Amino acid sequence: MLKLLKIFLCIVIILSCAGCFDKKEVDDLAYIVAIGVDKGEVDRLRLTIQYATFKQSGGEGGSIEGESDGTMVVTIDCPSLYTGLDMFSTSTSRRFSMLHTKYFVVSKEMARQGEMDRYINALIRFSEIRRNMFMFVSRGKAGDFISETKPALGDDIIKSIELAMEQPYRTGLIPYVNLGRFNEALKSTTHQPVSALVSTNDFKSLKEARHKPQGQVSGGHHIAGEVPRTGGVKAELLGMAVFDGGKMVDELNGDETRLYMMITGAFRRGFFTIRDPEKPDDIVVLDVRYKRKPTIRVDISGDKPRIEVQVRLEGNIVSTQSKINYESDGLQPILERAFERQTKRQMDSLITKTQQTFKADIFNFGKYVARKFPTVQQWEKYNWLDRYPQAVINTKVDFTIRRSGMMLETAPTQQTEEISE
Amino acid sequence: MAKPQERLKEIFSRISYKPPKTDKFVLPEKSDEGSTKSETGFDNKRNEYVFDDLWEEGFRSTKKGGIRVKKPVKLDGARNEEAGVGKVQRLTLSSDIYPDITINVNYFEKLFNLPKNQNVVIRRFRLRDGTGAFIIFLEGMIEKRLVDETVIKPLMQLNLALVCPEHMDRMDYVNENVLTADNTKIVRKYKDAVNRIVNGETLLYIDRGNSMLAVNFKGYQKRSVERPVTENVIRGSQEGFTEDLETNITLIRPIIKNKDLIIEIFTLGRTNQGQVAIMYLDGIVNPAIVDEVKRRIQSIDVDFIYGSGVVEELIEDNTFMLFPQVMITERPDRTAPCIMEGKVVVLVNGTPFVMTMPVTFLSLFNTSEDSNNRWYYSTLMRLIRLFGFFTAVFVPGLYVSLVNYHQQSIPAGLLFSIARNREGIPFPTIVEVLLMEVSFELIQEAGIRIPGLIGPTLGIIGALILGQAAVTAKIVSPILIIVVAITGLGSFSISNYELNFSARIIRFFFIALAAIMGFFGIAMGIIIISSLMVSMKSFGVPYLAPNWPRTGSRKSDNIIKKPAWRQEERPEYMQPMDKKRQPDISRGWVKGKPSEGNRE
Repeated sequence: MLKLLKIFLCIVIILSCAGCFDKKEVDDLAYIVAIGVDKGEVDRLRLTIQYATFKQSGGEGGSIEGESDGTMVVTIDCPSLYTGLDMFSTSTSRRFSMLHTKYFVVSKEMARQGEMDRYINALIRFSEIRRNMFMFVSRGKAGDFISETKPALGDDIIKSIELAMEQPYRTGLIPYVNLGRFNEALKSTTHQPVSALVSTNDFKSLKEARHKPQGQVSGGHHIAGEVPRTGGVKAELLGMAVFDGGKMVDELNGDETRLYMMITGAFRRGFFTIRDPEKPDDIVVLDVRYKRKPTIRVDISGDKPRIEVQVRLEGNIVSTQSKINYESDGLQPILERAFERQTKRQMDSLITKTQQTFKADIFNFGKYVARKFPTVQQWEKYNWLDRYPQAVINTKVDFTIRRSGMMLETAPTQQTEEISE
Repeated sequence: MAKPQERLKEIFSRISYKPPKTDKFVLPEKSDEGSTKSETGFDNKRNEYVFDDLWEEGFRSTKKGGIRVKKPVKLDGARNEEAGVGKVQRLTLSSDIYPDITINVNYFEKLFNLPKNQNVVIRRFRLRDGTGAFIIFLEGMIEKRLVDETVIKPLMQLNLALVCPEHMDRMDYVNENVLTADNTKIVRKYKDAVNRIVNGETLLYIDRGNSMLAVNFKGYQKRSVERPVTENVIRGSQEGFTEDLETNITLIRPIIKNKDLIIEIFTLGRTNQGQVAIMYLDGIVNPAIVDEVKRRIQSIDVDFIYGSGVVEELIEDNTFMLFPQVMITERPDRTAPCIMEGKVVVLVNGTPFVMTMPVTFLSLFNTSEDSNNRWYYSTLMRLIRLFGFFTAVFVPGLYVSLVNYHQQSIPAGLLFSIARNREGIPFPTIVEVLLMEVSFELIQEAGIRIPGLIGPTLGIIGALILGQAAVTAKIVSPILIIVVAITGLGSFSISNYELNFSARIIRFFFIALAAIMGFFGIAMGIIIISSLMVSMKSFGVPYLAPNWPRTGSRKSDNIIKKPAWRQEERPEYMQPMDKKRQPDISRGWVKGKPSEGNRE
C-alpha cells in the first residue's frame, strides 16, 4: 500500500508539472459572442466583434461607446482575424476567447470575392472556435448587422441569438448552416455550400414599396433587408446565399429557401399562403409539415443522370377567405392539388435556377448519386459538380390535408342583404 | 590549562539556556530497570506471590481457626519439608488455587492492591461449623441483595463438615446443594478467578478447597435500549444497540430464533480484558469465513480494546484503503438480515455498534428500511443514495474543472452569470472551493462537538455567516454555495456513516485532480479509485460483487431490490452453505384457490 502511495504521489507530481498551464478563470476571459468580417479600408479586413461585458443591462453602464445590453461591439481594421483580436487587447484588459461565439457573419462583398475558403480554413484550424457557430452572409456591412442585433425581448443577447438560430426549424425561411456544415460543403464533392442571409433593414421598403408583389401572395418572396416592415430590431434573417466553392454566386428568397429545406429534408413546418383555386382573388393559408421525409432516387445509367425527387407533405387548413368548404371531402382534393401544383412549379424553377444560373448542387443530390459508385476514385472521376447542370431532375409533390383546425366547415356569415350585394 | 573537552563544555554552558530551579512538579523519567518486587514477596509486574509456607502470619491465623487439620505445625524445617510444607511456594495467575484461606486472602489482597484499591470487597465469614470462607467482588458491579440472600445466607447456616459426604468435593457439594444462585461456575485457576471478578462476578472460596465458585450476579449500571442515533428509519424497528455486549446479543436473538445461531466470546486486550463476541448462523454461513474471522480475532495481541473501532482496524483486510471493509451498524434489524445472508457479526463490549463482515460496496447503500418498504420505493431510495454518493464525491471537482478548464461546456448564459458573480472576488476558484469545503467540514465537525444548549447557534453561523455574508462580502461566489450545499446533501444521504467519511476524503482528492488537470484529472481519478476498488476484497469477497465480478443471484438484491417473493437466493458471493432462501413459489396462495363462494 505504501508502494502504491508512492506511485500515486509520483503520478500527481508528474501531472501537476504538466497540468494547470491552460487553466483560466471564467472572469479572466472576454467572451466573444459574434464575429463579423468586412472588407477593410485601412487594412485587409475590417473586423467587428461583440463580446459580453458581464454587466447587467439597464444598469449604470453604457458610458463606454458601443456598449449596450450587456455586450460591447467594437470594430478594427486588421490584417487577419487573430491579429485583430490581439489588437483589440490593446484596449481591453482580458484575453478574448471564442469558446462561446454564437455566429460568424461575412459581408456579401467579401463573399463575392470568392475567398471564403481562406477565412473558413483559418477559423476551423483554431481550437477555440466551435464548429456549431452559425454562419451568415450579410447583404450590408457585417459590422452593422452585429451592432443592430439586439434582443427584442428580454435583455439577454445570448438567449435571443440562440433562439434566432432555431428559426430554420420554426419557419424554414433561413437554412440551418453552421461553420462545420459550411466547411464540409466547401470541401465536399457532392454539394456546394449555402449560408443564411442576413441584413439590417432600414425600414424603407415599407414606405417605398420597392418590391410590389406581382402575382405573389406567399410573403416569403422577400429577402433579408427588404422585408416591408417597420419597428423592432433592424437586423433580420431571411433567405440564403448560394456558393460555388468559396465564391458566393447568388441569393435566394424566403420561399426558395423553404423549398430548398423541403428537398434537403430539413424542413419542419411553416405557414404557406396560396391563391384560392376557385376564387383567385382570395387566399388560403395552410400550415404545412412533412408527411414523410423526402425520397430521392437516382439513375445514372444514361448519359445524363436522372434524379427523381418526391416530397410528401401534409398540412392543416388555417384560413380560407372564400367561404368555400374546402374542409369537405369533395373539395379537399382541389386545394391539395392546387398546393401541389404550385409547390412543384416553384420547385422546378428553383432547380432549374440552380442548374442553369448557379451551376451549383446545393441540394446535396450528389450524396445519392455517390451511392451508385463502389469506390471514391470512380466517384471523383465522375465529377458530379460539373455534371449537375446536365442532370434531368423530376419533382413530385404529394400533399394531404389532415385537419381543418377548430372549424369543421365555414358557416356563412349572416349579414343584411344590402351589404352582401 | 583545562582540557579541550572541558573548555567546550564551558563554552556550551555559557551559550545554552538553563532553566531556573523551582519547586514545581516534575514528571521523572521512567527507567525500565529496577524491580517492582516489594518486600512482602509480591511481584506486581508478573503478579507473582512468593512466600514461605512456614510464614508466621499464615499459621497464626490457622491456629486461631482451630479446625485446621492439614499439617502439624512445627518450626523444624527438615520435618516440614518432609511433610510437604515449609518449602517456598510460588503462586502466579496461572497456578492452581492454593488450599489455604489466609494465603488466598493475602494473594487476592495483593493482586487487587488492597487496601489501596477501595473498590474491591473481600467479605470473610464462617460457616456454621466454623470453616472460614470469603467472597470477593467489585463494589457496584454486582446485585448485592441477591448475593446476600443466595450465597451468604445459606452458607452461614450450613454445617458443611456434617453434611458433606467424604468422597465429595466440598465446593461441588455447595454448588449443587446449598446455593440458590442460577448461574455458577467452578474455577480452579487464579487467572479465571480474577477474570471473573473484573467482569463483575462474585467469587466464593471455602477454606481448604482448591477451587472457587463464581456466581454471576452482574448488576452494574448500563444504558437501556434506546432509538439508534446515527441510523434513522421511518418504517422499521426503532431499537438500537447499547454498550453492553449481553444486551446486544439479546437484541439480535429474538429476531433470529434459531438454535444454530452461534455466539462465541473471546477476551482480547492484555490490560483491559475486553470481550469480543462473534455471531453467525451455522448451516448458512460459509465456515471458511468464520474460521478466518476467528483466526484474525484470536491472533490480536493489544493492550486495550475499548470498542468496535479498534477491532475493526485490527481485523480489516486493508488498513490504508479509504472504503469501509466491514459494515458498522447500530441496528439489530440491520444486523439480523446480514446474519441470514451468511455474514459474520462481531460485537464488542463497550460500543453500541456492531460489525458485519464480509461487506460489498453496494450493500453499504442498503438500509433496514429497504426490506420494510415495497420494492420500488426501496429501489428509488437506493438510486438516490447512490446518486448522493456520486454527488458528494464529484460535484465540487466537476465545478472546478468546468470553471477553470472547460468553459465551453457551460451554457453561455450560465457562464456569463458565473463570471458576473465572480467579479470582485479576489481568489481563484480553487481557493474559493477549498475555503467553502473546509468551512463545511468545520460546520459538520462543530455540529457534533457543540454542546446541546448552544446548538442552535451553529445553524445561524452556518447559514447566515458562511452562506450569505461570505457572498455579500465577495469572498465566494453564490453558485459555489449551491455547489457546497448539494455536496453536503449528497454526503448526508449516504446511509453508511463510514462511507460518508470516505466520500468526504475522496472529494478533496478529486478537487485537487480537477484543479490540476480538469476533466482529464477527474477521469484519471476515477480510473485510480475504481481500480483500487476492483482489487479490494473484504474477508475474501470482492468489494464490487455481485456486479464486478459478476456472480450469480445478482438479481435478487442488487441496486434494484426485487420484491420479497422474488428473492429466492442468498447472495452467491458469500458462498453460503444453503443457497436457497425460499422456494421458487413462496406465495402459496398464487397456486391455490379461494374457498368456494368467494370466487369471482
